[in-house]
Amino acid sequence: MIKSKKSQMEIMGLAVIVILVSLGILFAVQYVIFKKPTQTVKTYSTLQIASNTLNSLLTTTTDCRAAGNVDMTQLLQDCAAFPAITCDNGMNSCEFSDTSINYILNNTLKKWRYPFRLYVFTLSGSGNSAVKNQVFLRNNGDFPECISSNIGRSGSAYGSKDSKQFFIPTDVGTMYVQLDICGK
Amino acid sequence: MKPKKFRKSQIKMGENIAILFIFFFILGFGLIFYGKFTSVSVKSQGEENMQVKAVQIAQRISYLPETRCSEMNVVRSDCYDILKIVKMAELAETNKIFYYDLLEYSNVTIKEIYPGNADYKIYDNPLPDKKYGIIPINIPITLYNAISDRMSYGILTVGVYVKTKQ
Repeated sequence: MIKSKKSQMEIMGLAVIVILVSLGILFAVQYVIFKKPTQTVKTYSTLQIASNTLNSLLTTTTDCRAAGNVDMTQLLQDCAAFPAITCDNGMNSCEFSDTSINYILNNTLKKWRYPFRLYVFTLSGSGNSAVKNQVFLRNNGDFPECISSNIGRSGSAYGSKDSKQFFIPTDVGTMYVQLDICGK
Repeated sequence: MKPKKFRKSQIKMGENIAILFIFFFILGFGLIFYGKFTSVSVKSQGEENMQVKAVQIAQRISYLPETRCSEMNVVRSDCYDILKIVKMAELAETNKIFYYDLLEYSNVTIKEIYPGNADYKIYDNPLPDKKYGIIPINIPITLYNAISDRMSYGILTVGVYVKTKQ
C-alpha cells in the first residue's frame, strides 16, 4: 500500500511537469507563430496619406480659369457661400470642385482601396441647435463598416483610423474640411 | 539457473535502450521545435527591418533640400519643386555613390495627378542580383511649378528593393 502511494505521487509529479512544459510550448507557439505581422509601412502610409491628402488638395491650383489662378480652397469657399465663380467651361465653383476632388480621390485613395470619408460642411446656428450645411461629401467603399469595427483589435479587418481637419473662413462662417481614413 | 540470469540482464539492457531512445526522441523533437521557432522569429524580424528601412528612405526623400519648395528660405511642407526635381534626377545619375548612401536600393518617382499627368523619375537603383521584390510607399504631395506659379496634386512613390527567395 505504501509502495503504491509513493508511485502515485511520482506520477503526479510527472503529470505536473508535463502540464507546465505543455503550457510553455503553448505560450511560445502563440507568441512566435501566431504573432501579428509587422505593419510599419502600412501604418506610416496611412498616417502620411491622412495628413498630406487634405493639405495638398486644398493648395492645388485648379484648371478653372475665372479671374486668374483659382485654387481648391477658393472654389470651396465660394461654393460654401454664394457660388459666384464661373469657370471658363461654364461650371460653377460647386460643380467644378466636385468634379476635380472626385477625380483626385478616384486616382489616389479609391485606387489604393482605402475606406475614407471626405466631408466639407459649414455650421449655421450655435450650440445644440447648430445645423451642418453640406458642401461636399464623399464616402468610399466600406467606410461605415470601418468606423463601426473595433479598429486595431485582433480580428478586425482595419488597422488604424486617422483623421485630419482643416478650418477655412468663408462669408457664411467657418468651413470644416474633414478627412477620415481607415488603414487596411 | 544460468539462462534466467541472462534474461534479467537482457531485460535491463532493453530498458536502458528504450530510455535512451525516448530521451533522444524528445531531444530531437525539441530541437526541431526550437529550430522552427527561431526561423519564424528571424524571418519576421527581417521583414520588420525591411519595413523600417523603407520608411527611413521615404522620410529621407521627404527632407531632401534638392527637391523641396522654399520661399525666402522658408520650406513649404510636403511640397516639391518641379524644376528642382528635374535637376535632382540628373544629379542622382551622375553622383550615384553619394545618393546610394542616402537612398540605397530604391526607386523614387513622382506622378502628377491633377491638373496634369506628368511623370518624374528621380532615382532608381535596383538590387544587382535581379531577384527582388519592392515595398512601395505612396505619399500625396504638392508639386510647385515656379514658372507658372501653380500648384499641382501629385504622388511621391518610394519603392524599396528587397531580396526575395531564390
